[in-house]
Amino acid sequence: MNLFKKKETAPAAEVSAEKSKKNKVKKPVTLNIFDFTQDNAITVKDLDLYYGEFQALKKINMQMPKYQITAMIGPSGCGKSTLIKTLNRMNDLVEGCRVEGEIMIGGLNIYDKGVDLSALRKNVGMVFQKPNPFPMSVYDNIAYGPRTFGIKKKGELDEIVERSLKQAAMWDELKDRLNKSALGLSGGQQQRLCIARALAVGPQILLMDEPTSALDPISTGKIEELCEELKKDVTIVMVTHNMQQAARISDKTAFFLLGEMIEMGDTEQVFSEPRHPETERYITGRFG
Amino acid sequence: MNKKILAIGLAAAMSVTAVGLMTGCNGAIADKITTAISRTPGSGTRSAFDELVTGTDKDGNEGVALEDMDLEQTWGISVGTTGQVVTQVSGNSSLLGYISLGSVAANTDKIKAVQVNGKDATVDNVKAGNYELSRPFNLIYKAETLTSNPLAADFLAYIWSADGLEILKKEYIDVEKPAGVGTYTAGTVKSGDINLHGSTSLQPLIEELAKAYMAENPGTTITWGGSGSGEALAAVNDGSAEFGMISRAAKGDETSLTVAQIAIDGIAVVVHKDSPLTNVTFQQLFDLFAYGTPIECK
Amino acid sequence: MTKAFSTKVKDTSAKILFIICACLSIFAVFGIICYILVASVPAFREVGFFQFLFGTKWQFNSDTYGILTMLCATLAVTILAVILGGVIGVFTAIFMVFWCPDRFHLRYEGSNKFVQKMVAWLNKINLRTIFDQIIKLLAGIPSVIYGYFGIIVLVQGGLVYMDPNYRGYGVLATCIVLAIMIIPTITSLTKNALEAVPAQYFEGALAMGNTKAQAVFRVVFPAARSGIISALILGIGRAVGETMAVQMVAGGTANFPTGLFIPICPLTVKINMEMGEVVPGSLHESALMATGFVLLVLVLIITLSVNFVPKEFKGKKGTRVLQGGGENVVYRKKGLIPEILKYCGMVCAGIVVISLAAIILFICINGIPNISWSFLFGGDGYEGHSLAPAFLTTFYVIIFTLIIALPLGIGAAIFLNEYAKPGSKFVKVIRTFIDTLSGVPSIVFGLFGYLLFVQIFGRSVFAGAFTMVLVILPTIIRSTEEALRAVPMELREASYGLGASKIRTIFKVVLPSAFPGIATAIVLSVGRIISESAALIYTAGMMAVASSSVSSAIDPTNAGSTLTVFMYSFFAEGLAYEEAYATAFVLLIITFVLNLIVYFIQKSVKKKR
Repeated sequence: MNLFKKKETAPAAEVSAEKSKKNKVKKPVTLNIFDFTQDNAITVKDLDLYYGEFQALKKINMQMPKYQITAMIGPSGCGKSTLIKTLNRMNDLVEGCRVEGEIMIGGLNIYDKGVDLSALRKNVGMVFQKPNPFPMSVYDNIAYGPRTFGIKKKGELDEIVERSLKQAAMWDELKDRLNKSALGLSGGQQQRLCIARALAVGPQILLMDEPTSALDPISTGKIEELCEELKKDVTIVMVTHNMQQAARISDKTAFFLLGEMIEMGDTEQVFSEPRHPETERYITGRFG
Repeated sequence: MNKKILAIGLAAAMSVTAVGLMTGCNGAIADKITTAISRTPGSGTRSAFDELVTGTDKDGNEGVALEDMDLEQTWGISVGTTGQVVTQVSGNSSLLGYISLGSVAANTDKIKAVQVNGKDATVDNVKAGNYELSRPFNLIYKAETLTSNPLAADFLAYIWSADGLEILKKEYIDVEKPAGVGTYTAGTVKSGDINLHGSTSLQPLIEELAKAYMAENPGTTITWGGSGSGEALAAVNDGSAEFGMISRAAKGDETSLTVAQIAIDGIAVVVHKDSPLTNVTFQQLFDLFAYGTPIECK
Repeated sequence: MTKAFSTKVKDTSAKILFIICACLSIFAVFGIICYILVASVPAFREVGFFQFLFGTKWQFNSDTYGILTMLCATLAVTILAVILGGVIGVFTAIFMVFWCPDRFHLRYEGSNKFVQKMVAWLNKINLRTIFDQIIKLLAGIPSVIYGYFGIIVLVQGGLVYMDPNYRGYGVLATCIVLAIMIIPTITSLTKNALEAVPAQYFEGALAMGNTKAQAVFRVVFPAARSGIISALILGIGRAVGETMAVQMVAGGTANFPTGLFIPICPLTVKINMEMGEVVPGSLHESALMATGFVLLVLVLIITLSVNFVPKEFKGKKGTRVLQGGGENVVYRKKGLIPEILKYCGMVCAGIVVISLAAIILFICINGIPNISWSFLFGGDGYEGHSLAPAFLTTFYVIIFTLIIALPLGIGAAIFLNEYAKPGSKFVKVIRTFIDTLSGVPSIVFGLFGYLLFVQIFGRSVFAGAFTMVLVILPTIIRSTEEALRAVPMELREASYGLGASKIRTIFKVVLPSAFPGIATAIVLSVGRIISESAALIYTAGMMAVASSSVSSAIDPTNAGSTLTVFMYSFFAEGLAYEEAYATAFVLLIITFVLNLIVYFIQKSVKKKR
C-alpha cells in the first residue's frame, strides 16, 4: 500500500526528469501523468456521448470524491454502464462512439488528444460484470499487468503477486495453487482474482461494472467486504443493479434515467429522502 | 504520421517488387548453357535420347551411352512433358532441353533447335542419316482390332495413303508399310470411333492425321490422349484405346501386341530462341547431362 | 401391420441407412490404405522395406528403388513452407481480426458530384468481407495455376537472378509456391481460432492498461494457441500432399535438399511424373504405389496429430514458491515488441494481397486477350481449340459426383447430428475418419481411383466422378452438419409435439431449414471438383486438347478432361499457351462466382436469423 502512496507524492514530471537523467537512452517514464492530490478523483463536466446518431448520455456533470465508493444506479439502458466505460475510455472500442465534454482525472482531461491510454488504464483499473481471468495460471494472471509494464525480475513480480492477492484477501486461499489455471477457480474467486489482477498495476481508481451480478450471495458478500477494505487506497466507482448493495457499501450514489443523471448525493440522503420524484419511484419500486 | 509514411513506403516497395515480378524481364542472354532439362525417366523421348547420346566418361571409357550414367543430379532439371521443356527453355537462356522434332515448328517464336554434331535438325538430314538423334514412332494394337473395327484398319491404312504421307513427311520420316495393313480408300468407313493413347511426342502427328482423316470421312470420331509411352500398353489391354502410341522401340510386354512403326522422328536439341548457341556435339551433351559441365556458346 | 409398427420399421431402417452413410468415410479410408498397400507389397517385398525407405537411388531400368532423397525433399520443403506460410498466414489472420478497418474513411470536401459519389461508394465497401473473399479466392485457385505462376513469374522472373547457376528452380521456389498455397488454409483456420477467443479476455487486457497490440499478442494469441497449432498442422498436411504446382517448380531431379537452389523431387512429384510412363503390372508401378503409400502414412500421421493438440491451458504441475524481494518497483511503459508484431501483421496481410493481385494480374493480362466466343463454346466444327468439351466433361463430373456424394454426405451428417449421442466414442471415431479423409492428398485419391474405379469403369468420366465422391465427401458432411446444428432444437420439439416421427421431422422440418447450409456444401464441392487435377488425370483421363470433341465428351463412359485438366494439357503439350492462360482466366472467374454465391447464401441466412 505504501507503494501507491509513494507514487502519489512523486509527481510525474519529477520522476521522468530523474529517470531521463539516469538513463538518457531509455524513454522517459510517461505513466505517471496524473496528479491525484486533488479531493475529487474524477470530475465529469458537460459530458455528451453519442453512438452514431443516438445520444446515450446527456450533459452529465458529477464529481467522485477520492477514497470513496460511488455507486451508479438506474434501470437498464439508462447509460450508467456507458458512463463507467467512458471513465477509462473502454468506449473507444465501440465503433461510432463520440464523446463531447470533459472528464478530468488526476488533473487531466482524459479525452484530450495525446493522452496515453495505457497510462490512463493503468491508473483507472476496471472489473467487469463477468469474471474474465485470462487462460493462464493464477500467478501469470496477476503478474500479467506488471509484466506488460516492464517488470521482469522474479523477485519484484513475486512481491507484487503476493501483495495484490493479500489486498484482495485471497492469499490464503490461493497461495498453494499459484500455478494452477485460473479458469479452475469458482466464479467468486475468479472475480476477486480479477480485482487482484487490476490492483497489481497499482491503480488509483477502480471501476466496477456490476461486479457481483453473476455471483452467489456469499461471493457477493466477500466482494463487498473487499470493496470496503480497498477504499482506503483506491477510489471505487461501481455500477450496480442491486439497490441494497448500493445502500450498504457506497458513500455516494448517482441515479441515472434515460441517459441523464437525475440525482447524485450522499447515499443515505438519496435513499432516505430523494430530491427527485423519479428517484423515489425507482427506489421505492424496487424496495416495495 | 510516421506510420502513414511507413505504410505508404512499404506498399510502394511491395508494388515495385510485384511489378518487377510481373514483367519478369528476362535480362541478358546467358553466354553459357549450365543446366540440362531431361524428360522424366521412362518417357519415350528420354529413352531414345539417353540411348543415342554417347561420349567419353571421366574414367576414359569411350562410347558410353547416357543411359548408363546417373543423371539424377543437382545440375539437371527433370520435367514431365514436351510442353514443360518448351516453357522452361523459353524462359531461361541458360537451359538446354530436347523435344520431338515435330514439336519444334509450332514453337519457333520461343525456342530454336541447334545443330547436333554440325548437322541441322531437319527432316532431310534425319532421312539421310546425317542427323544422329532419331527414334521410331510405333503404334501397338491387338491383332484382332483391325478385323473387328473397320475404322481402326482404315485409319492405319490412311497413314500410308498419299495424303497421309504428305502430312507425315512435313515433319517426320516415312517408313515402309508393315505387312497386314490394307490400302486406304476414302469414304469406305461411315461411322465408328477409335481412341489412341500414349506418348505425347506422337500426338502432334496423330492430330494432323486424324483431323485430315475425319474431314475426309464424316461420321467417324478419332480421339487421342495420354501423357507418356508407358500408358500405351495398359490402354490397349483394358480396351480403352484401340492403338497405343510409343515414341521408342517397343519393349517388354508391348512386343506381345502387334507393333506397327509408322514414322521416324528426329529429336531436336532446343535452347532459348535468342541464345547464341548454334551447335553442340555429343560429347558436350554427354558432359552436360552426365557431369553438369557447362557448354560455352560461341 | 399397424401404422405405429410400420413407422417404427421406417425409422429403424432409415437409421441404419444413415449409420452406413456415416461409416462410409471409415470404409473409404481403410479402402484407400488397403488398396494402395496391396499394390505396393511387391515393391516392399522385392526391394525390401528399409532398402526402399532409406535407399537413395531410384532407377527403374535396373529396378532400384529408394525414396530417401524424395522423402527428405518433401520434409524439407514442407517445413520451410510452413514456417514461411505459417508466419504470414497467422499474422494475416491477426491483422484481419484486429486491425483490418471495416471501411475506408475517405473524405472529400470538393464539389465534384462524381467524385463525391465515388467516395461515398468506396466508403460503403466492407473491407473485412473483401479481405475474407480474397483469402477464399486464393484457396479456390487450381494448383496448376499456382504452378505456372511459380514458373513464369517467380522462377523465371525473379529467383533466376538470385541463383548462381542462373536457374531458379528447386527448394526455395517450391517452398514459396507452397507457402502461398497453404496461406489461405492457415489464415482462415487461425481467424476462426482467434474469433473464438472470448472478447472479455481482450477487454480485460485493455482495461489493465495494455495497448491493443499488447492485448492481442499477450492474451488473445496465447488463448487461441491450440486452434492455431491445429491450423498449422493442417497446413503441413496440405503442403506434403501438393502435387501439380510443386511439380512445375521443384526441378524434378532427386537430390537431397542441400541448398536453396538445388532441384528436388518430392514424393508427389515422383509419382505424378512417372505414373504416365509406367508399365502396368511392373515393379515400377508397384514402387510408385509404395511411394504413394509412404506419402499417405505421412499425411495420416500429420492429420491425426491434430487430435493430440491440448485444447486448453491446464496449469503447470507443482506449486510455485514465491521468493519475495524487490522493494522499489518502477513501472515503465513497455510494448515495443507487440507494436513491431502489429506491423508484421500489416506487412503479411500486404504480402497476401499483393500475391493475389500478382496472380490475378498474371492470369488476366495473359488470359483476357485470348478469350473469344468460339474458344469458349465452339463446337466440333470450330477449327481452333475450344473449351466446349471440357465444359461438358466438367459438368458431367460435377453432376455424377454430386448425385452420389450428396445423399451419402447428408445421410452421414444426419446420423452425426440427429441420431448419434454427441461425444460418444463412435461419433469421435467417425469424425476422426472424416478429418483423415479430408487430409488425404489428391494424388493418393488419384492412385486409389486408378487401382479401383479405373479397373471397373475404364478411364472414364465415371471413374473420375467416383474418385471425386471420396474427395468431396468430408466437405459435404461438415457443412451439412454445421447447418443441421444451427437448426434450433425448438423446431424439432414442435414437430415431435405434433406427433411426427423422427424421420418425418428430419425430412420435413430439419432438412428444409438447413437448406442454405446444404447449398453452401454443394457450391464448395463444385469449387473443389473444378479445381481438382491430380485425382482426375489418372481416373477421368487427360485428353489431348486437339482431340477433345463434343461428340466424344457427350458420352460419359469415355475419358475426358475437366477444365483444370484441360488447362494442364494445354501447358503440357506446349503448343497453345495463350489458350492455357485463357482457360486459367475462365477458371478464375468460375472460382470467383462460386465464392460470391457462397457469400450471398450465408448473408441471406444471417439476415433471416
